[in-house]
Amino acid sequence: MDWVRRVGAAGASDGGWKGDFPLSHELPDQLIVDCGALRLPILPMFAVRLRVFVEWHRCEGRQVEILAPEDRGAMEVFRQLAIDPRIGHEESQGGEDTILPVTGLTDHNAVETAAERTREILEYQLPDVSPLGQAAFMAVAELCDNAIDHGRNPLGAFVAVCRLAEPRRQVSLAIGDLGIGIPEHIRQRYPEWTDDGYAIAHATQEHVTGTGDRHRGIGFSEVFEAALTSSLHAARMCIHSASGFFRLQVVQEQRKQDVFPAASFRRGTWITYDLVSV
Amino acid sequence: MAYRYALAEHGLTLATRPFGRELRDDLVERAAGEGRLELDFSGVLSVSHSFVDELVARLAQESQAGAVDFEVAVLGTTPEVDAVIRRALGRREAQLAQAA
Repeated sequence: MDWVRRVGAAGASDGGWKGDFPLSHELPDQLIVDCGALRLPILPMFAVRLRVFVEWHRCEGRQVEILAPEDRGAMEVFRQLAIDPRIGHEESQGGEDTILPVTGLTDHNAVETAAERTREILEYQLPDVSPLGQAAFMAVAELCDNAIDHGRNPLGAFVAVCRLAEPRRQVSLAIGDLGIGIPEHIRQRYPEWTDDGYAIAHATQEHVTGTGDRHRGIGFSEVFEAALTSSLHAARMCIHSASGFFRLQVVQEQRKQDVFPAASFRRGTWITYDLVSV
Repeated sequence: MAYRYALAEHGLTLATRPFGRELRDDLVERAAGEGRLELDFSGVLSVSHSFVDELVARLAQESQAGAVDFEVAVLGTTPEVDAVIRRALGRREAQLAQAA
């Protein structure tokens, strides 16, 4: 019997975190994800999560069928984002919202290419959000560098970057990997940080690293530093790893952070980062 | 004597810690005995902090500590690139030679 998951019209809401795409060996050989009712906006985290689901199960030898959205606009973005490479990927045209389709990263050269491509498109093709180019470049470079370094797994890491118009103009990026996750990585050095959410929060502080090198652990700080020196209204990062969910917002240089227990355990590390234009 | 290295040969944007490490290892050999290494960022539009920390800040720190036999200077930076380099140096508390 096939396993069928229907994604509702609002399946891409709630920051793209909503909807369950299980990575389980227990699932049958035939999987269907019905995105027929999906509507815009399609957020990058939704796209990354669904793509990882597709890639992981296909690597496990399962047949995965994605039923594309019926809504024309949603279908166009769905294809541009390369959520299912077999459905076909259309190169983003001027005026479209896909800056970087879901892109698999298996080495640091791929990270550099993704960061450069993001900056180029923002600065030369999208004048309404071009001031965010440097901040987006730094975010893709540092966060994907981390994902490749610390999130080692056979699939690598995945990144997507989009421009969104509502509720404000913003650039949103999503990164996911199926590595050991931030809490477990950081506990190699700080075993006392048993709560996953607080372990993630600590990991975003300067010079806190699981590597043991006192000069490391600066990537998150630099991502926010680049945001603070850009012309933007706000920056908001959410990290879900293991059973922890961490959110850090910077609005007009005021930082606010929240730690929540996650609704469910999530293998690896999943990050959304929104740069909201002035 | 000075050994000048044009980073723009590697692209307009430079990122990732492993790439910075690769260039640093290469330059430690090339600049040995030259007295001065000039890192020329002319044409480079963006750099990531990890790249700069591994290449520039670590080299500057090693130069101060006498671990390499040349001083390190930076030239041709845009304000954005310069800001990232200064932050990386500040975090390592290293200094560059005057790039005159």
